[in-house]
Amino acid sequence: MARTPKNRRTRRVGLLTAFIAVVVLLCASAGLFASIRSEMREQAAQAVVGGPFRLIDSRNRTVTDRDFRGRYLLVYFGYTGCPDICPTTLSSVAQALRLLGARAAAVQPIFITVDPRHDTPSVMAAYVANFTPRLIGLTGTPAELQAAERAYHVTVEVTPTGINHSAVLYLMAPDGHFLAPLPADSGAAVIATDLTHDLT
Amino acid sequence: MRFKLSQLSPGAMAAGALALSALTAAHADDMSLMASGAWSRPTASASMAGVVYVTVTDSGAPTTLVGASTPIAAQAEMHQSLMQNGMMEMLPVKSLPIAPATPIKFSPGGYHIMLMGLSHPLSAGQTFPLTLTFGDGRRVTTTVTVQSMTASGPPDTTGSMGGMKMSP
Repeated sequence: MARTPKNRRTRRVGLLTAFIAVVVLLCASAGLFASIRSEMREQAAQAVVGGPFRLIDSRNRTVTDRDFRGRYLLVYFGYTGCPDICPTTLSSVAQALRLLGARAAAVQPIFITVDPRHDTPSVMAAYVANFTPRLIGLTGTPAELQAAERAYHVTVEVTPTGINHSAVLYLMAPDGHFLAPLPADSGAAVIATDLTHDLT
Repeated sequence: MRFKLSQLSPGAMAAGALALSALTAAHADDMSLMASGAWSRPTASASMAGVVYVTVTDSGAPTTLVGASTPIAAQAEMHQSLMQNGMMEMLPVKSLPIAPATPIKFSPGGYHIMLMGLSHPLSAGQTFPLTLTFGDGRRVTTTVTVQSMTASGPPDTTGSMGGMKMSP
């Protein structure tokens, strides 16, 4: 095609349009990317750990998360047949509360089972009594417990020799929102120190 | 005054002979291996898994710890509690190396021996024997003490060989 002045103008307009289109597209993608990232960041910041639960205690009474408003909660998921880590963790919690002295009254330790088939209310009652009379053991229907596990991001894996499970102590504030996670193998001294910092 | 063998009473000689034979007969239960401070926790029922913690030392040739057994449980297996991404897993352990410089410590939150198929529930105050077997054929038997659920370490040693028993 002959390069007449008219054709040259059309070509330049075409190129400019293409260039603008590319720039607009790039900006749009960048904008989209930025908005996705900030949403992810927001979600991470709000990482909802904890939430409503409806379980039963050792006396077969219904217990919900709302029953514990006003106190700090130290929540741990495990099962009574757990040979090593659960007794070790719950012993550490009991010892940490002793180290806290009078301030321990503000903290409510809770043990939620991941093995409802075996851990009936009476089994739970006998088990928690080993560690401290302050420890509340909760069980429930598989559906209720799975809801609690989901709320607390607890993974449960049944194996031939035992149940693998997330081993985290969840510290919840008196208004019910999530404060901090503590590794289950922290030991009594570390748990006591962390609690001291968080109890204002 | 010089000691004369003929001065020993027959009883003393018999006792001496017995002790000597016991020592020489214990070739499979080697004195270079020691298991100390073996303890366990109570279980509410026999259907639950039991646990044993113990420290094993080797003052002889390096070898591997390959198994455990006890008359009070159908199976005794070595496991390791391992925290991975917040999830506590219990991994079976087939063997653990042991040498004079590297004793093995089974303790809460780490390596432990799991007992399955208990013949009876474990209660605080009970004791039971545990035999550890090693790759080179050596073995050692020790007495496990069941402590309270909140125990975190072995019972205080009284100075006597409270936790150790060698079987012929």
